[in-house]
Amino acid sequence: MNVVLLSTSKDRVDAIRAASKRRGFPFTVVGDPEQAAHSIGETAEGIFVVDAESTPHLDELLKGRSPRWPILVLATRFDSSAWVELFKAGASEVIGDPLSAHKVDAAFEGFLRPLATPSKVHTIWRTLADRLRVR
Amino acid sequence: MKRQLGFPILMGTRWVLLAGFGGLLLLLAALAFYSIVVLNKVERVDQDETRRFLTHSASVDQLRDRLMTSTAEVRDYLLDRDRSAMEARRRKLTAAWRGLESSLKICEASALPGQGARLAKIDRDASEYWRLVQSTFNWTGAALDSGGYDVLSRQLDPTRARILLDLDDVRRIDENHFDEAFANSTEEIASLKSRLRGTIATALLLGLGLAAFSIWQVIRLEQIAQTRYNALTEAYQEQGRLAQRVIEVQEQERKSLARELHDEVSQSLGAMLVDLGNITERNPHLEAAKRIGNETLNSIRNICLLLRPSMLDDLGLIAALHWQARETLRRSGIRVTISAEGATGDDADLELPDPYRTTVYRVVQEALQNVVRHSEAKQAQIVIRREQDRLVVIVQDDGKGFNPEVTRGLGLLGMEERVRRLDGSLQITSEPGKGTILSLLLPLPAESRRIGTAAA
Repeated sequence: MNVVLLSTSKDRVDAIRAASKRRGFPFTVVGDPEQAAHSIGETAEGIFVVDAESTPHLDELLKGRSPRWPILVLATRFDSSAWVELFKAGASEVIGDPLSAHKVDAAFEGFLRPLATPSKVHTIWRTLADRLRVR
Repeated sequence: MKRQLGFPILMGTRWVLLAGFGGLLLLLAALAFYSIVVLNKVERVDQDETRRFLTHSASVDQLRDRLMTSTAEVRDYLLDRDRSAMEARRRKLTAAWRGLESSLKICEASALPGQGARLAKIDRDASEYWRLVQSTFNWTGAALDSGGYDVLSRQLDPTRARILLDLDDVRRIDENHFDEAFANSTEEIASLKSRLRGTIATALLLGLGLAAFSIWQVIRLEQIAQTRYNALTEAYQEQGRLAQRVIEVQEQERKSLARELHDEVSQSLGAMLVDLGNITERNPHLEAAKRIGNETLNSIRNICLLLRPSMLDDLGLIAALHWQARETLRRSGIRVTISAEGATGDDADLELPDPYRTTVYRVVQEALQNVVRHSEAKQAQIVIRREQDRLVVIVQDDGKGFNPEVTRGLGLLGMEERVRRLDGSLQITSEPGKGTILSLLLPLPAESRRIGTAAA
């Protein structure tokens, strides 16, 4: 599973790079949508992470998404009305500041599930982890 | 019960390992301490004895040299025919003898216990020797010519020979003492080696025993942990199956109850209302009964829809969600808009398998109930989109928001339980004053993905 990040923010690049490294995903940073399209075109599937602050025409980017590349949008502060518009435009997931490792991991986990066939042990451990998180 | 879980084994193991490793460490520490003490002692004895032996040997050698020099001077004095240098020879002889006496004092000062008597005898012989020499100092040249050789050969040389023999004895005592000290050190080192060998062998045996015991215990603990893990896994699987079964039975019961109410009670009530409508007689009680009957019929229909809207099975998920949106507006005044997008890119029905349809419907139903009860929102939005291999569902409201880290109700747990059964993920993001977003990601089964791909 490849991760392509469109961002010019060092903090966000570091956060997504660290999350990708934890999962062993190849990671690429791009500076503009053209480079992103080139990187995405090279591999069949992955996660396209878009920094809302670094992307001027985010709506167009979301509308032109590739079917096997779900888009994770890194937004600024939480605002449900603004975020729902991102979802309507095509974002598969949105996370906001502060960008914690837990948030990024949870978002990646959501994208992984459809693509991976979880083993019983994996399911059990995840169930355990979910229960601990609930408590 | 505790015995089955293995706690007494762990407690006993802890003390055995503590005692074993503690004993091993104490043994090694004692061995190290003993080795250092013995080596220090051997080193100190070696240094002291060597230094004493060398010092005393040097003083004995000096004494011997001065004796030889002095007696040579005496012989020259007694036998020399040149009488003009007599006075000078006496002075030289006296100086040499003072040097000998000084050396003798040094030897006596550093004498070993067995050397005292020998050195005292040497002192006496030397004094006697010097007294005889001194007695010749007032002899004339003729007296020296006639008696000098006799004094030398009959009195002085035998005394000199005795002193030399005694000096040899003193030297031998020195050497014996040094040999004895060296032998003691060798014996100490041999003893240390022997004890080291014994202690190391004991430590190795103890270490091997501890290692074997530890490995055995680790294997046992692994087996206990594996057994408990298997039991836990089994329990969670069973719990998951039960939870899934409860949800299925609940849905079946709701469906059955809704069908029963719709097909039996509603039909009977409808027939009764038709019969009542056929009565032409004007009667206020009859009118009231008709009104109550109609209200009851409407209530039953609503109950049926809430239990399991038939349109979810008949018309699909999107239609059922639209009905729910209308109901929410009717009950609470909150305007709910729905944005649905299928794999084909339009808002046609998403062709989801029944468990997925039901899960999405129930999650949205619960989310909207929470919006109505807690959010004080004016409007809410539902976004539902089918992607290549997943379903994205968003429920957003513009209400007062809350802190999801603090507030978690039973309804949320129920939603998570349903979502988990389908291997999906549920996230709730909210902040006070910023509204709430519930996002649901559901992986679609392979069969459903093929349908979606074909439609695309």
